[in-house]
Amino acid sequence: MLPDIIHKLPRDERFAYARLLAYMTRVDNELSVSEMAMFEQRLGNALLSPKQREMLRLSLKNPPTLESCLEGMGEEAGRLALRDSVLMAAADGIVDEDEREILEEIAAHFGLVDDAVERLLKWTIEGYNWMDSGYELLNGLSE
Amino acid sequence: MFTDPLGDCSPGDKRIYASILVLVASADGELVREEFCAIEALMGRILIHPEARIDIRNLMNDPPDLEELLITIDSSLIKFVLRDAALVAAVDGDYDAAELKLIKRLATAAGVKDNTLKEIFDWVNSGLAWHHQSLDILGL
Repeated sequence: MLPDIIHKLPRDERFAYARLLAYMTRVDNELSVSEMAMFEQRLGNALLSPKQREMLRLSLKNPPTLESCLEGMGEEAGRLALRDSVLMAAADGIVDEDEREILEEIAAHFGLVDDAVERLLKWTIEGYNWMDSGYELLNGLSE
Repeated sequence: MFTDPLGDCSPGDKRIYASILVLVASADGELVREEFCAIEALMGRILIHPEARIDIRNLMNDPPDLEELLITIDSSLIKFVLRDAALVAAVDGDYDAAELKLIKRLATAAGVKDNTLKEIFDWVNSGLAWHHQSLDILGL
């Protein structure tokens, strides 16, 4: 919902990006409503076709392997997918060890600096705080 | 960006919410790709059924009447609509006069005064800045 650059990528790169997110949703073997909402939000932001979205929703039941997601994926799509994987992993409030390990693996695959995941997690917390401040603003309207 | 209580609304309320956002996005006469992305993301975030999204997309060519939507909307939803209208209107870089007119109408319906509306715009700006930081982290 905030302006991004994912929609500027070629369609196959956007699909690869979303496929990695689909993989990420199932790393902890749970798919919460929060994660699903985040996943759907990112599919929308990537402007994938309804047919592509349907394929990706189906892949949630039978997720692809990490290797197949990363194979041939462009650097820009991969880095954006890492960022949004962090957002999605944090959507249920906890980034568990398995998720953290995968995030580090993705960051290393795309040649990011060692503390990239840590910085993205910090950035994610700042985003949640920003969202909370929006709720506080709205709650103040009801008083 | 993140999940919020709108996801628990009825399908009818979700439709009204999204319809108003379509109206705001198309207020300046042209719907740019960024606005389209924002609408699609917001529909995804509140898990609007994929088939219902088709009807909502069609509203982009045949925008609904705001006053009619405001009559039917659940009063507790208006503040969320106002918040997200400010977000959608900002994604193409600035607030167009027609977008501002609609946002002010929503603010009136929500009982929001000008100084609070300014706080909402400030909140949107801080979100835009926050989101942009991610591109620096990623080296993009």
